[in-house]
Amino acid sequence: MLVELRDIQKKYGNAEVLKGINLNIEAGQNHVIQGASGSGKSTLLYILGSLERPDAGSVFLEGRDTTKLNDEQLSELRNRFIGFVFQFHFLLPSMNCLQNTLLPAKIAGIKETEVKKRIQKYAEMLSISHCLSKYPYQISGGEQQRVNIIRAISLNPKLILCDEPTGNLDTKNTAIVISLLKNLASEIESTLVVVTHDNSVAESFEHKITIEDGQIIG
Amino acid sequence: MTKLPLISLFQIILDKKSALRFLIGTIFSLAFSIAVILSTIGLMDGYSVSLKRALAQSNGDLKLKARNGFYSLEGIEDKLNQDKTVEISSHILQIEAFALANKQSKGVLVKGIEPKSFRQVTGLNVPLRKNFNDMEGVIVGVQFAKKFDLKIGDNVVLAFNSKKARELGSASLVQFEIQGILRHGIFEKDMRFMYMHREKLQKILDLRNFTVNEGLIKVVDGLSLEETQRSLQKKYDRDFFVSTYWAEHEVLLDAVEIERDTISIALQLIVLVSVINIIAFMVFISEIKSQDIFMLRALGLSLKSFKKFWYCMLSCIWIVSCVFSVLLIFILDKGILQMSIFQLPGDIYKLSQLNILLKIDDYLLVFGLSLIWVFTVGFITIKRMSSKSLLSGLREEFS
Repeated sequence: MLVELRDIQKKYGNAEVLKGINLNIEAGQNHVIQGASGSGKSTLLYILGSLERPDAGSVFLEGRDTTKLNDEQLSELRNRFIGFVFQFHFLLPSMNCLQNTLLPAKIAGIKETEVKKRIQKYAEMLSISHCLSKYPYQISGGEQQRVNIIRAISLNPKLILCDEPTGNLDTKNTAIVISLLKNLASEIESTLVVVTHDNSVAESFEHKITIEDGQIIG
Repeated sequence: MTKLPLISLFQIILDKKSALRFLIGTIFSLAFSIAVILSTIGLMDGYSVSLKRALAQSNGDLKLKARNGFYSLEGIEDKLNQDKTVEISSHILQIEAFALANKQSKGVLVKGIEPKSFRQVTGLNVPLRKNFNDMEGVIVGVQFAKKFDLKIGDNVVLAFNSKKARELGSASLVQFEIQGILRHGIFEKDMRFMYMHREKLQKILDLRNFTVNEGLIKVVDGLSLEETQRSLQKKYDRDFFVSTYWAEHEVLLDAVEIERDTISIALQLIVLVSVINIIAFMVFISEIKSQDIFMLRALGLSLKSFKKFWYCMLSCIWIVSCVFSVLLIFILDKGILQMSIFQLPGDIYKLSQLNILLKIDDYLLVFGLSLIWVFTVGFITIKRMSSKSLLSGLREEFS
């Protein structure tokens, strides 16, 4: 089992956002988490990605309880094990796209030569090789999102977490991005978990998790 | 575990011109505050040291005064010179007189000296000619010469209150040739002191050859002046007062020291203001670079690395400010203090010019205190900045 959530609870003030979530995700499977706005789907994703700690319950990633790890260990886990794709493909404006995609490697202290080769390969797959030497403001929104995806998978993470990755894109680009994510996840043998409120996106996934009022209903 | 080089983090955080400008301003304000405190301390230390040095130049290390005013050289000179703590002594005869020149007059202190021993004790070379009987010669101070518009070779008349003159109900008027102009480094001395051969003055005053009224002592190198003064005072307590060369200005020197300490404490307020600038800089950076910071943290930058970055940034600000403050002090010392507008009224401040004199201790104290300020305030600010959870930061920045 790659991911195992046991009785996850989370409160913000008096609002109970997650009410005892239990979830298992097998390695290599692609999952979509869907639900209405405020249902707790993003919170669940962030807890899964160790960006947030649950108030109660345990999160096991490859059998390791992340709730017992300190900030240093969690940071390492995020860097090496998980790749994040956010709705807003935030790329650092002071760096060109290649440098942006190399950031996880720099943080990890990994030799950049190998990673660079991999990035160039992914860039070719996503048809954005010409963008790598450019700065983020010099390329289109769709291209920026693809650079963002390459950054997320540059270290071949075992888990790719995407929070509304197509929220900012039109229908045509939405289909392209989801397809690219699936292909890349399959290429690097990663597990893909996507949060979305878009039914058309959810429809394309085999494994669906529907969340409502802080509980998994299906 | 984060291996992101700090230099890369600095590049990311400071990529905007406004951040760089703010940083330069912050460094400048801290440097300026440190420089203000250091120059205040340095000016006051410089004043004390220059005054002491100038006093020593015409006084030797210790001064000897007879309880009865005058004393005879016989016996005491040899006795002092044989003392283990005394390197050499010189005994002088000094008396108040009136100087008349170029239709002006002024009260002066005439010192009858024996030039060789006087130079050995005080280090002051008084260029009196050896053959003093040929022509009555005096050496005057530089300020006196300036005020009376005198130069070497000009004449000055001195009016003495000698015993013979007193009997006649008048004063002894003697004309002297100015054989040299001397700089003591203290305005008052440069204005009032005149030197002539001791035997000559004794003759004018109708005093015996061995009569003097002040002894100047040079202490053996390495000995504490205060301790030697106490030991000699004990030995010669019955007939003499022994004092250190700065004794007559002791109250002034103590006042300067107290003032220096008080002002240094008060000036900490300036450091506080510049430290507030540092907080403002940190808040500014965390505002404009919030997205970058939270994104880097999501990508695996640990809180520890984030804190390390800020502590490095604070250390850099502090180090550069310290270096810059030393430069500012150098400019102040070499430049501004040489400008005529900053020349001091010497009759009030004793010395005609000031300089900044700083010891390693002064630097350590001021730099150390500023470091404590910077890191205390930095610690609190960093703690507040890192208390924001990663998720709430991401949501705020990317929603």
